[in-house]
Amino acid sequence: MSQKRAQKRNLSKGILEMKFMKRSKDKVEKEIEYQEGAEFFGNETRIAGTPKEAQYIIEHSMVPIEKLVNGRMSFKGMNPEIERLMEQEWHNIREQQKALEREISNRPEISDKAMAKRLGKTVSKKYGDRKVACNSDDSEEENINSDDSDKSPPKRGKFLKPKDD
Amino acid sequence: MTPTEGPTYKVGDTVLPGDDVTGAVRRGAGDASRTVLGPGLRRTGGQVVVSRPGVLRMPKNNVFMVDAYQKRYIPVKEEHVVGVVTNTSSDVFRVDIGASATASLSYLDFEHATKKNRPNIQNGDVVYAKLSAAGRDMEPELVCVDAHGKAGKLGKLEDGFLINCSLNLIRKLLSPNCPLLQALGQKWPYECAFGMNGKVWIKARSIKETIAIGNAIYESENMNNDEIKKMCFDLGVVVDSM
Repeated sequence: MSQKRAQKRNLSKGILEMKFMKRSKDKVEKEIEYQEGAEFFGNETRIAGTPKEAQYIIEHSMVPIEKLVNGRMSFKGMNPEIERLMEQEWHNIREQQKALEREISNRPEISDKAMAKRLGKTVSKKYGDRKVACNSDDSEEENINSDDSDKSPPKRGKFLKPKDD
Repeated sequence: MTPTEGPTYKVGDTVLPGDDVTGAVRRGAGDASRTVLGPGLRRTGGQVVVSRPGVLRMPKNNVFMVDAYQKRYIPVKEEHVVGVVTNTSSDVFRVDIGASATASLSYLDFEHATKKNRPNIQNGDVVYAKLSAAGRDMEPELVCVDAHGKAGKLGKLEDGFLINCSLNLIRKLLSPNCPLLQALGQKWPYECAFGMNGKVWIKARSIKETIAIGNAIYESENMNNDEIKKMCFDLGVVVDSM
């Protein structure tokens, strides 16, 4: 088995370039890459990968920890441009808070009632149709026909050819 | 740095560089899977080690840091700082941000700046900039544009007055529930830029108001929110009567 594998790995470049060998080529390249990586980074990658290390997040700045605001401010129209940006920032923060609250309370943005009101008609129509269709006929073709007849406007009278004398 | 074996610390204790606080962090974090190590804490191997003297604190759940009175700024990436330009002769401006080394600010990192259109910055100008690179072994780098090339709130600060204060005061004033800046803003129109490096730039209509705002900022260091509100009210009365 291992011999077979070794043989496979040593396939010549020419063969690997061929179209039907694309998959094996990718595999070989991946293996080479992995080996090179292991040589270069040695133990470091293995250390970083262990779950024990991953439990700490390093944060050098106090800004996200204490949720500090941007230090550039303007009041009472001293610098309208800055005040516009401040207003925008506040708006964004408020939106984020709202979204967070919604997530915590697990209340959807649109209440069940509002949704039922909005969708009630269409959904009932949809299921109603299906029921009618199921009751009336089993065959697929018939269903389609009945759907069509439901959707299309009421048929007008057939064209009557005037009698020529 | 080898962590020292010593007494078991808990949140609220005074700690010194090299102290091993893994136990305190584990206990404080409970069974949470992820813990945030703030400024003053480092990870060596599987241990959490203190890297600056101060008090071990847990400002939020699963967030740990070492708190201390600090006036020396240690540059951190993505933080906003106020700096004084000290050299404009080459392609990169040298900016003093109060850190151990001066920061560099490329003349191309301004809004609308091109190779032909050099921004008008002179020695002694004050800039509000963001740190784009900061590390223990590198000189800090500043930019005055965001990722889209827009200046936003960054850029040169015209006129105004520059004061220095402790980093703790900056953090206190910029926390969302601090009433000082809003209260002063209801009193007089003014403009300000607080850098995380402890430099504060103020621009008001008159010298009198500028001094009042500067003093209010200094005085609020040892006050709580109610005292700050009262001070702002008193200050308004006094300055208006002058």
